[in-house]
Amino acid sequence: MKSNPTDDELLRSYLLGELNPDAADDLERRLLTEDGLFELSEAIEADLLAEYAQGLLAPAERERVQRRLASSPQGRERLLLAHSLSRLAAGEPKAEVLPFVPHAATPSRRPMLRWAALAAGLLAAAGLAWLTLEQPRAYRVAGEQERPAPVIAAVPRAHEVPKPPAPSTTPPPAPTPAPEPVKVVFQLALTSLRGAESAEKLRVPAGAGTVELQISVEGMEDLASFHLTVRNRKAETVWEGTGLKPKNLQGVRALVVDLPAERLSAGVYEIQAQGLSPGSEPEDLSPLQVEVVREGRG
Amino acid sequence: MSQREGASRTERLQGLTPEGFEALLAQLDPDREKAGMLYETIRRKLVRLFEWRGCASPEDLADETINRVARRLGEGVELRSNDPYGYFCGVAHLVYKELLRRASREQRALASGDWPPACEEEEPSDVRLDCLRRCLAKLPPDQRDLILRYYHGKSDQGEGNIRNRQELAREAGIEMNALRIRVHRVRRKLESCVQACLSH
Repeated sequence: MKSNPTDDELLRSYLLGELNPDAADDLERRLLTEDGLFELSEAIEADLLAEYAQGLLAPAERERVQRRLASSPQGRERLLLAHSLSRLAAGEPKAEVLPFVPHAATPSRRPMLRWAALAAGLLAAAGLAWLTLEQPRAYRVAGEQERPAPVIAAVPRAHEVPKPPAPSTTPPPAPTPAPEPVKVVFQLALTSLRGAESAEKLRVPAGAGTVELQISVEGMEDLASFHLTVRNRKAETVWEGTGLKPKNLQGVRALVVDLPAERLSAGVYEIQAQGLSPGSEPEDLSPLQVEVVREGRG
Repeated sequence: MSQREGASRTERLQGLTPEGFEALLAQLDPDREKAGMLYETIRRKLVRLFEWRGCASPEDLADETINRVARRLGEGVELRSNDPYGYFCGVAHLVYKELLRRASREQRALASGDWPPACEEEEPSDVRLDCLRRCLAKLPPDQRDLILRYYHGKSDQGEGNIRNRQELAREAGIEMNALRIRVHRVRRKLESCVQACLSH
């Protein structure tokens, strides 16, 4: 590893976001390959956080540390450690430390907290989606109710259209012959990166003829149209649409696409999207992972 | 890395298939154990690189990067054996640029056109300080003394702080960067200890 002053200065500039993009890219490649340089970078980061905690940075540097090194939960933890160490070092130079009291050997709650936080985040996201898409959902349900076809009995989820409640005045339907193929609607959004545990499950009941995807493209007003490709896990294209214009679903800008349900066998799919705006290059958007679950089949 | 750990990690990654994950490991090293360790190192580094770029969700972005690399490998792309990191780096930059574009769009959507501060000043709680004291007490005396002296500095003592560290390096007979790394290793122990203490 090189640990000359040039590396120090380079790393400090990099961590403060002062390097030009090419130099930053080059340095990042080195950081991936050189373990020693990487460790030095972590050490210099900790020094910057200590200088921040001790008020030794210029205002512009303070702001950069805040925005770059303390913008993630992990970064804020490190900053708190720097504050704590600086305080103890300043006030307790003779290392007046409490005796260590071993805790009972209980399992750490850390993973639990992490999962709880994740769950809370997912709930928040689901709640947001629900609030945002509540109006279109009502609109869709109203439309469905006008049709004589039976309505999908799906488990209500934030991203799916639940079965509309049967009007209380309507008598139970008489036994009918085999139901017609119906449409099942799912609401998705293109805007976020998701972990595997939050990959959307599309529960397609038996008898569904069409799967309608309502894909929110809120916040992409600069993109006039979209190209969507749905691929299965073998990377085979099962559906493709181009020049798709967003519709306004009761105030929510969304793409609405109908896929023949027969093309969606159970499994994982990737929805790849490109946004198009006049006079600009097509913009690749983060792909969306969904898992189709076929229900009500032997 | 065990099969189970591999599967667990696979599940964490967005849409990463077992085949993609296996293809990734196979290209990193023929020895599965070594490949697993290399994978963990690459992931940890990617997380930190995204952090250093100021990303609020570095773990998600690192997983997204690995996921895309694995998918490409699953499609038959091969990593150059003399530079397996280059491909990760290139994909990480693409993921980052996408994030910037998205952030830029979100920023435009904000009426104020301004971002809130990334974080606010936070003072460590008494509980945290108590945990740190306990963790310091667990350290060997030389390490405890080293880190407390390294951190000993006040706002009006910037120069003094640097001299203090130079003195420490001289005493230990090592270069400043070696001192930084030595302190950093002690700090890492403290970080883990404080986190464990706070979770009890």
